Amino acid sequence: MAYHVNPGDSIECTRCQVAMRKSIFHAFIKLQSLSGEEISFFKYKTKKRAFAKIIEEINPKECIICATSILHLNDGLEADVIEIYTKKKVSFSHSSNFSSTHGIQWNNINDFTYAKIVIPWNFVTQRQIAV
Amino acid sequence: MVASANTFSNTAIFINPESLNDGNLPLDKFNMILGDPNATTSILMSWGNLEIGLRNIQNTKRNEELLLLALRNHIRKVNFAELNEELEDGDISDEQYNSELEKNSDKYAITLKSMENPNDIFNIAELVDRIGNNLRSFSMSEVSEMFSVNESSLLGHLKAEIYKVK
Repeated sequence: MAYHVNPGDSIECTRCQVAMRKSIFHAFIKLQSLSGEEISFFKYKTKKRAFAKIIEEINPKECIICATSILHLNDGLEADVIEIYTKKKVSFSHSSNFSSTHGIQWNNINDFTYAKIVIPWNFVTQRQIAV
Repeated sequence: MVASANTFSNTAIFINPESLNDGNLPLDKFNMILGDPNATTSILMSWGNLEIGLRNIQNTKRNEELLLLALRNHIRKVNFAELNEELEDGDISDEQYNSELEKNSDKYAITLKSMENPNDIFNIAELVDRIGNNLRSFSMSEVSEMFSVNESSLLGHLKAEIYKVK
């Protein structure tokens, strides 16, 4: 189990757990898969803290959208802003007391999901600038 | 004397090829005659200037195509937002919503493809710069959605040009 935090890191899975402070339902996008096929996705963009975790791997375990996507069970992404592409329209339910101050929106997405870090944690950006 | 004729409104443009070899003009220059071949009105042009002019025309044309694409994608986003609003208001059912997306996907879906012409990166950079950031500072994914370009392709071409400059 590992959480990936770098910009551009992505996951692909058939079931995914997503949680975020706020989400924006963004657009209807057609992405070209690695095989050249066009696949339609609902695109969501998270705001502020977000994580996405693989709870069911793709079978066969091969990347579909991005050749460097992470495919292992229980691996995930954690970042400030994550883009989530799902084949199904999803609604996120609110639950309170995620932290002592804030609630959270979350859901399990039971369809193919591709998620990618757009804006990482601030410390990751600072570390990359320093290096 | 007359080599070729392009009609530009009612005026014909003639290029005098003999002037290239008559020894009176440098090799990179030629005479362009406006009107009929006997007219005395001529413009001295250089091939370099003509090439720059043609490149500018191509550039402007490509900018126009990209702007139209951006406008179409914006309309697609508006259409999609309206469809979602209808669903939320209960005007259409989930089934109608899904079938509408399937049937008329071109009305709603923004297709992201890899960039075919690497020079497009300059046009996109110019257009984004001209739009300005006083209304909104665009993220990479927003630019990619605007011009229907795959984000990784956009980033790849951008990096390649930066390394060339370095």
